[in-house]
Amino acid sequence: MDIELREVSRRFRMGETFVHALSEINLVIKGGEMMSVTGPSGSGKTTLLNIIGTLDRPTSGRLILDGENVTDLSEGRLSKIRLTRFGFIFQQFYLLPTLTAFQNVYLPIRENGGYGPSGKKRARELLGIVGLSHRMKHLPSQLSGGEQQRVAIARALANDPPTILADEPTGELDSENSKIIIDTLRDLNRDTGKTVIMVTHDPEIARRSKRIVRMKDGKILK
Amino acid sequence: MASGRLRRKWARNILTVLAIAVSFSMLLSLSSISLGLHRASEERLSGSPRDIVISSLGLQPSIENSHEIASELKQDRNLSAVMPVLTVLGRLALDKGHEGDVEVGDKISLKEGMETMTVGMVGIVPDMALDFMEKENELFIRSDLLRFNGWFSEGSDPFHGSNYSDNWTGELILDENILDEHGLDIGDRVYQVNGSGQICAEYTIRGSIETSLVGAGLTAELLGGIGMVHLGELQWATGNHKKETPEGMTSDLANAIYLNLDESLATTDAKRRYSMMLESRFPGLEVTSKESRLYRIDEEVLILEVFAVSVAAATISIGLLFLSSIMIIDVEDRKADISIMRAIGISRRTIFLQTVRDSLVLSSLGAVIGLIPGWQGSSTIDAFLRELYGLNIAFSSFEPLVFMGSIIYLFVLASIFSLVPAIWATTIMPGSTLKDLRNR
Repeated sequence: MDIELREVSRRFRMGETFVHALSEINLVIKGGEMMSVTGPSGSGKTTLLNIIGTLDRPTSGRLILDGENVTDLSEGRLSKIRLTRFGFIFQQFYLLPTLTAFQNVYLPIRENGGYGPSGKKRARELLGIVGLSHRMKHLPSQLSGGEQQRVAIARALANDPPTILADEPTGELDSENSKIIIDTLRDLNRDTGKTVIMVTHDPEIARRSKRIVRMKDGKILK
Repeated sequence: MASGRLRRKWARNILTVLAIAVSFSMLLSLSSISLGLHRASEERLSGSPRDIVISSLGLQPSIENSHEIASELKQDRNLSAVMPVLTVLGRLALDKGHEGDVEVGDKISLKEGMETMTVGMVGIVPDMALDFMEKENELFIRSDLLRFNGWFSEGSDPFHGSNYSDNWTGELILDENILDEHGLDIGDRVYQVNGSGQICAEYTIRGSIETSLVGAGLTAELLGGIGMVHLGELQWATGNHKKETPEGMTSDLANAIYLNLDESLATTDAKRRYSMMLESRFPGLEVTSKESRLYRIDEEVLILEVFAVSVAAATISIGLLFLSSIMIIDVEDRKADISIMRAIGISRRTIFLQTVRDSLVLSSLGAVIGLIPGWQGSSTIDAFLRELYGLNIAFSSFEPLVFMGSIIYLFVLASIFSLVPAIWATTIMPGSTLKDLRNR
């Protein structure tokens, strides 16, 4: 899936003043790319990722997915886009605490119409791929940080989206688990052709991507 | 998945379920009482063979020449049964300690130690009453079934026939409750006491009446039971044979004349036409048909029903308001979870339905827990009312209809009350909430 941002700006109100999180960003990401977004805190990395993933709307400019301007689509349409075209991986994992690992993965599959045995089979397969077949019935609180992030990867792949958006996916993990997660994302990009867009502070991790976008003060550095 | 969410805040949810259980049990109890009252009044009326009652407007008997009117009406081929009735509250004295017969016209002072009791005295003409009995020994009076053990030996009303001077029969059919309570038996004598506290008439017990009218409790405290005697003799003993009124001298007074319509007048229209004819023939008296009595009872019961249902609705609403506020708190608590769900593409519809479903799960648990207290409450109120009024009728009707109706009512209201938290849950946006979460 090709992603294009045209003159995208995003500003937030902070009391009486406005903070410009993104300023007139122009960016094209071709399908199948593995791209890292780096930059200091407050540079607008996460805001950029949220706008790409339709979690947030730009104040101005356009977001174009596969040639379709989705900037002004309804919340319902955007929700469907997030369900089918993006897989999200967050720094704090954001698993639902009352659901088991299996239920966390099965939830988006079911939402996309994958009821019954076939949907459950897929959830089990995905947990198998990330090496958690034996932890399916565990709640997130019973899993380590690395395991939780692997469940989050399985959930991100639930509906086989063309793009994975990862916001500091190793931020809460030790080096060993970080390596496992990055390897998994790289394998996904290489083996399945999925676009992987990853926000990271770590230059070492960023270097493992084919493309690195550096940001500062809401702008992409040339 | 819902069970995990509900288990997370178990103490709060248990309290919510208990609140719903209490209000649901109230709903069940009051609904079953309401239905029970409705059923009881309908059944009692529909069981009565009388179709029309001509009655006095006030409490005092005001139908003059009742025997004559009844005899005239009996000639009407449209009527299968006619009977004048006088009902008064009387005072009877037992014969213990009293010696000698009481002649007509005697006024004898009560001796010290004589036991007296208040009795609902009913004066009838036995032969005319027989026309109302579809089953042997069973008669309906004011919608209550009277079952007789023993009957009058004199079928007519000879004391009235002698112009209240001779042929006193003294026959009395007395409530079984009174016989049991006072150790009386067939053949025993009791005496009617007048307003001045003097014995004025003597009766001999000829039989007993088994009735649901007076059982125990408050009614029994006020009224020991009922006693049936010849109409003319009761008229004489209570001064209703001849009475001086501002309008002049009246005689042969009764409270009511019961009429049974012939089968040829079975249709509602025919009954209505005949009732109208009677109304024009007896101005100043009330003519009520079974239908009109049913309608009136319906109205009276409706008031009780509306009251009971209103209390139940208010109670259940309070329980569900509690549920609604708990669900709002729950949505607030789950704001992060909901925003995560929204982030991964779960639709607003799913989140809306999830909140409504959680409300219904809590309501269902409340209904299950409230079922037994509801049934118990219904039985307790039923027993209390039976004891209070001393009536052996079912005040409560706890049946599947009540349960199903209450469940549907609960679910409809629970769905409505969960709308606010459910709609609020759908307004949670993923981007801003996740940003807040990150900044914590």
